[in-house]
Amino acid sequence: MSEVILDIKNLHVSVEGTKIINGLDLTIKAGEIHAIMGRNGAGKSTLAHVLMGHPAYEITKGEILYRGKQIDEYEVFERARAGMFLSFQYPASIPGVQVGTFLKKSVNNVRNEKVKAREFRKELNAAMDKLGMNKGFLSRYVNDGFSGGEKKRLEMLQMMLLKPTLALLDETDSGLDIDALKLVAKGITETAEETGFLVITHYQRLLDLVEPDYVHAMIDGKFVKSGGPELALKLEAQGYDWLEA
Amino acid sequence: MNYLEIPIPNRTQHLWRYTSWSKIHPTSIDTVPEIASANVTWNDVEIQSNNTREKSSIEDISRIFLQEANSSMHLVKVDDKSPANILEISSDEEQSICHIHVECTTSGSLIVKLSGSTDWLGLHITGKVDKNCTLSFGLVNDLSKHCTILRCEDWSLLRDSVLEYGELSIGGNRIKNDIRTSLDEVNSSLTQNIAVITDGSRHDDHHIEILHKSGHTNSSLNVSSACSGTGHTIGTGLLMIEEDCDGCDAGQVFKNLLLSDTAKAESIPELEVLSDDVKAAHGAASSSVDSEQIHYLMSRGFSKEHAEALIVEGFLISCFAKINNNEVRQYLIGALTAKYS
Repeated sequence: MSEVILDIKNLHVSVEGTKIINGLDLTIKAGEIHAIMGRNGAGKSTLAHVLMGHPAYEITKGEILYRGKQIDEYEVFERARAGMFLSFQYPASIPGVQVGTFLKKSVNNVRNEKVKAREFRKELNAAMDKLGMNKGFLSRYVNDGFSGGEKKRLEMLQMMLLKPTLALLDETDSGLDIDALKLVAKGITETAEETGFLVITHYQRLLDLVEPDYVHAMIDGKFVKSGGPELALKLEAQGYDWLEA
Repeated sequence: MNYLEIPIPNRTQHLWRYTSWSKIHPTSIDTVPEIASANVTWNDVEIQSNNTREKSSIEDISRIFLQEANSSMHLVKVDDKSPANILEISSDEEQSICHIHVECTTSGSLIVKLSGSTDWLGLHITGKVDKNCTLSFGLVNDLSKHCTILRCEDWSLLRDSVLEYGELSIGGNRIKNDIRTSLDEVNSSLTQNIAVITDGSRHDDHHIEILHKSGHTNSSLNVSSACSGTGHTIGTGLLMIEEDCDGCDAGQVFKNLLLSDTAKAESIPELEVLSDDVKAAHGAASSSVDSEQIHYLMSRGFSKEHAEALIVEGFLISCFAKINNNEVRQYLIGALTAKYS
């Protein structure tokens, strides 16, 4: 039986007094892919950031269990070191910090050990080859002057190297052309088999490439309908109004 | 004019607004003590002063004081034979002075390192970049934490010459820098990139003048400063474009990262433009570290302190990104990385 990686119970979240998530339940087991779809402002990205511990969000009720442990008190970096990964919708740029250095330090941080340079280089080269990335990328500054596609590609590269137990993908497919989208799909499929995924998206086209086990429709901070891949197709075709009727 | 005939500047003057002359003078302001020369090594070989310095043509109290307190001078000729010429100026005496004149008649690079535990260092660098030559110049101020520094520089750029200039200012406690560059002839170009760390109670005052005396000359000034503790960074820039200098392109930017509630940063870029058909821009920005950058790095397993240090280091490193000369750029970045490690 697969391990329960994430167990969210009756979660309520506010930002500066405004309720964003209103009683959300979700269980993700190892190897499962869950997709969340919903209109803008439904609370999808908030959920991803809350799970990763963004300090702007306040949990007012409910609990989040990650591999059986409450993580409310975990700092962001402790969640990362415990195996949680967030692929950002808008990754921050860090001028002056080279991608190669950043990746090496991130891997050391998350694996909690100093990975040997040769071993890291081998893993890095293999992952970059799979994503069709040029080695010149490594000497550029993190996300500084990157196109939208390059940013998402770097997020996927990080995910493959960090081998998370739980990967949260916040609209990683937004604004990507079909080739870049295929690379995102590759990033998901090339990451560890036992990784649990929470994929936030507006579109079916990513789910055509990576079939989810579960799809959740989110309205006003809670799941109003859950189902299999067919739900995504229906949402794409009919929108969300029928769920409110 | 002699030092004692010069009126002591007061704080109404742009140059002396934030660091008074009395706090920079090594003794009392009505005296000109005789001050010993600092030790100078050229690629690890000690060299002696080989010239007598003439009085500065600029009637400025700092320059005249430095000349009267010690009139010896080291003449340094930049050549293209070695990848990077390293000139180390050091002193463990109570007070020291050093005058360097740089002659650049062929393209090359020069790195100046300031080190030692002297209480007071006076430094005057003058230089001329000859026609069609490129000089890549780097300076690392790594003097001991208690040192007071008075530093003047005067650069002259001739036709088709390039001066790419990088500086890392991390040493000393009270520092007054007065750096002036004159783009004397057509098609000369200056890129000046200065990174400053004011931690502890460090007070770092950079006054930077860039004078475009000829048309079709370019200058770019970028000063990046990270201020923590009760540190105080001052950047005053004066960009002047003379009459009949059409086609000039000049810009200056001051950026400050404020890392504590008690740190201070003051940036005052000024423009004096007397020609019509030119581009001249200036800007200044001060902020704390971006919380979204910290969050992003923390989501990759960096502790908050580590994330902040990496962002600050990157902010300063990116200041040197425009330096084309690899040796100079790497030397500056290496010194900066060593500071953070």
